[in-house]
Amino acid sequence: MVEDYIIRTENLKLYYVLPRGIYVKAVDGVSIEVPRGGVIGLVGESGSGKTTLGEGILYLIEPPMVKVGGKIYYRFHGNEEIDVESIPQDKLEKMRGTDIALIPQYAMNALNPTMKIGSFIKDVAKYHDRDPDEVLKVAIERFKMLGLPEDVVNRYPHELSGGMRQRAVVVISTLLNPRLVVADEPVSNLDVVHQQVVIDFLTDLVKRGIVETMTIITHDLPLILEKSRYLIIMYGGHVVETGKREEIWSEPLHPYTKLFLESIPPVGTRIEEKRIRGIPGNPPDLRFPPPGCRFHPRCPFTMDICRREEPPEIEVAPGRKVKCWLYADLKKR
Amino acid sequence: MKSGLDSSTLFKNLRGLKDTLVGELFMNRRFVVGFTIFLGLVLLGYVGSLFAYPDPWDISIYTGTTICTPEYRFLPPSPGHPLGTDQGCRDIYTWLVVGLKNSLWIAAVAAIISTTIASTLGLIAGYRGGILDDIINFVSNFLMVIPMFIVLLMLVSYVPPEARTSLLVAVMIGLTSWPGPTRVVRSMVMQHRAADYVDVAKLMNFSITEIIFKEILPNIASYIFLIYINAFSGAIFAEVGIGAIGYGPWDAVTLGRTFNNIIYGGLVFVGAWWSFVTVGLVIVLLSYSLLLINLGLQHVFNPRLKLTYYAV
Amino acid sequence: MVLQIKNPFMRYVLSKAVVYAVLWFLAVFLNFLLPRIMPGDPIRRFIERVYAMGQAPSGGTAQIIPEFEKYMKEVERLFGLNQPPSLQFPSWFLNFIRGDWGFSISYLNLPPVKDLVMQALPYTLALLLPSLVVSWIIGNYLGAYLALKGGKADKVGLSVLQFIAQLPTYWLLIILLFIFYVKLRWVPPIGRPTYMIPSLSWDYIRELLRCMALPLTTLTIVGIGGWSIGMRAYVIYQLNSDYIKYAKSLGLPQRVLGRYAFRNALIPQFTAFAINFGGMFAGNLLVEMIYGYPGMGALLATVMANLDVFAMQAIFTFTATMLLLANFAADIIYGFLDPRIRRGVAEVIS
Repeated sequence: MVEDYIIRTENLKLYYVLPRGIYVKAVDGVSIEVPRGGVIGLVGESGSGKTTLGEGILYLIEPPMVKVGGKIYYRFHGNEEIDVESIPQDKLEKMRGTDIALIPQYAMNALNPTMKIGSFIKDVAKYHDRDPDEVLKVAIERFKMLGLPEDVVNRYPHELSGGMRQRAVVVISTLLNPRLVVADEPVSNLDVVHQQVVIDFLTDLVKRGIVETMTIITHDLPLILEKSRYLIIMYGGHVVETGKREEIWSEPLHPYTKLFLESIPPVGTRIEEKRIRGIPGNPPDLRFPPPGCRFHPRCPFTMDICRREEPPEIEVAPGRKVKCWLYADLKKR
Repeated sequence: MKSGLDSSTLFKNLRGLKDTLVGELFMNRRFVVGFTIFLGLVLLGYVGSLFAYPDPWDISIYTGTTICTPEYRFLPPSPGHPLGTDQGCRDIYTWLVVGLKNSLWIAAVAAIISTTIASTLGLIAGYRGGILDDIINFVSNFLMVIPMFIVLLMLVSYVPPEARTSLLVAVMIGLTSWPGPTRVVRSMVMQHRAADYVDVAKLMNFSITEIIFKEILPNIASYIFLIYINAFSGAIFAEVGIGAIGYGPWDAVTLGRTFNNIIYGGLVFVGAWWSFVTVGLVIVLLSYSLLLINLGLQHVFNPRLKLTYYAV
Repeated sequence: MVLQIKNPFMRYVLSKAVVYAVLWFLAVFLNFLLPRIMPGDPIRRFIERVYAMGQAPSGGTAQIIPEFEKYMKEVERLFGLNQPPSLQFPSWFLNFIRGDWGFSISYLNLPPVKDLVMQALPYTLALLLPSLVVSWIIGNYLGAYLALKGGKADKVGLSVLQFIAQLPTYWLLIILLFIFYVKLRWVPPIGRPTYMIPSLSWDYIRELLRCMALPLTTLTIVGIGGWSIGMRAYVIYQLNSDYIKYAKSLGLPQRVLGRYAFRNALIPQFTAFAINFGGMFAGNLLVEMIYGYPGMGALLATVMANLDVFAMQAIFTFTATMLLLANFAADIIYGFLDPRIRRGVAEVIS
């Protein structure tokens, strides 16, 4: 258990309901704690369920996504846990944008096509009882910090390029200085220069104390390896490893993490010098996940039990978890 | 990938597919209700005709003469005349069931015509592309802007009554309803054309006609069926519509003609509600059941539309 | 030339104008062609009828009534009978746009077609326009309400509306006629203020309103069904969009999200409205005919029954023109309302 956490999930299961009664088990029994403060990385490849988990902890669960089981607890103020489902709707609405915020993966399409960006910002301000003009001013400042021109607020979304819209959404989501921001692939669609600008902007918000906790969801491990202090690694709808960044970097426990780290070429590697190992195989189809450990078809250390039974979650140290049979005997101790 | 390499495999797959699809259709409430009602109406038309008087125009069977005398006009329902008689002493029940039967037939034929045209043009336009596609597209877009009912009326009105046979009316209805379905077929074909199995077939030197008929067509067969149902329902609407104002076929009694007869025969003003309520009800049920069937089919064939619930 | 114009909206307008001009020309040509290629040669029959009307029986030998000369001349002129085939269409076309539509044989006094149309048109518009507007507005709110409400109310409401929307208008008219005239005597049996000379007097108008009540109600009811189903679909589509999800994640309440979705769903509804506006000019044939309401529909029915070719050609062409105009206007309005088209995706700063 992480000492100071702001969100805790308990065996959370989030499935997508498809026609003919088929479920995509995107988040299949996840129990994590999101530590308070700093940059947290939620890492995994496409189809690992990280976006779903991100939406889940913000309680943005809409059809066709359903919560099949588990609990979500918030612990923003003080030491008391509150079950998210017990929070009344209007209170939850007030929390959105001010306590919790999302920078969505679909940021490029996240803006109302028939509204000027400035009008939308004013609406957001109005419904959180802030002065619209003041908020607009802050927005313009932050737009400038991300390299967007001032008159962005007078434009419609389609008049901006995709990258500009993504940056605009980054600003809008963080405009009311929320305590927790979940940024889902905030830079994947940007060019390298702006990637750095946006990541710096986000980490800067944390450094300056404007945002307390910044959870960045990405498949690009090197991107947040440097900036983050805690990592949550997902695979196939399960969380396979968590821990402090240094610990994971120096001593990765789960085979997936190991292979993942090995696939990152260090800076300055020349192609001729080093062969980069990828991870052979494909991520599992979450409609019909493999039995036992989800990673076993691709794992170089597969044991017989891995094929049959789902591994338990083993907490090696507070906040340092791994879901793998290799460490099962540690649990028994 | 076992795509369309072997057509017989494809048809086997299709049959297997049909099992689940048909099964699912009958689980859909709208489809079942619509289908039942429609079936009931078809039975009414065909079986009901067996119990009707042989010739809708021949009143001598029950009056004994071909002249209509007042004591046989506007009769209320009775055993010999379940729906009474009209202003010309004709039995309304006979007109209803015979009309229903003929209207169904006309609609079936008209729908075959428009579906065939739409499928052919759509396949050509979607597969060939190029200038042929542009032409077909332009023409169908143009025709869709004009309400085809007016065009149908134009065509029908220039034809003298004697020449207006059921077949001619069916053909005209078919000829004025192909633009919409053509676009649908075209877009479906374009989607499938880009699919892998077509490239494989090309590599194996299948001729274009072979590709169209053996590969693409089976895949869109279920959608073409949907289009047919749609066309059928539109044809019913068209026939009853033009029939109601007197421009239906001259050589046969149809539902539209029956309705027209009722209105212009003054049965409404005489208060003979059993006549127009029943005939009207048949018309309404016919179109409603077809709508339900349509909705059910769409629901099953277009699962994407299923997930449109949203509670804000 | 089109490409040289900078303003994206004007470019859009101009390109649409070109397309519609071509379409219109095609429509007019088709209208010209139709009676000339239909079996049974409607034109010849028409001409024969005119000649027959102009002949006065006089003791066995037929003579042409002198005053009829001018009608004959008009037939010749408008049909271009003494012109080579290649010139017939251009001359007819020119006459048409000059408003020279010939005379009608459906009425004893052989009135000019133009007069008939201009007389019937106001009645049609007076009936269809309010019905269209009212059913559109109510339908929009009803559809949006159902889409936002969801759940049981939505399911039930949708089924009811689907039933109402597909009701044949003429059937509903008959039912209402039976209830409100035969049984209740609240409305007149014929949709025309009989025994009254059309004027703008209050008496006439009041009587006209009584006549309009039934068809107006019928059309509006069925119309509400159709419009609300469409709007409901559009609103649902909007509610599933990314921008709504995002706005919700920022804590904007239901009513604001509903407002956004409503506004965006209205755009395609506007287009549909404009298209229906164009369709108005054809009149609603079935309703007008059955009830005897003196609009374009009834006029069309009368002239078709008499195979009154001049009138038919004029009315069909006029209707098609109005339709295309309305579609054109619809495209323009849509382009204006949607900022994506209005502002163009032209200069994108990056």
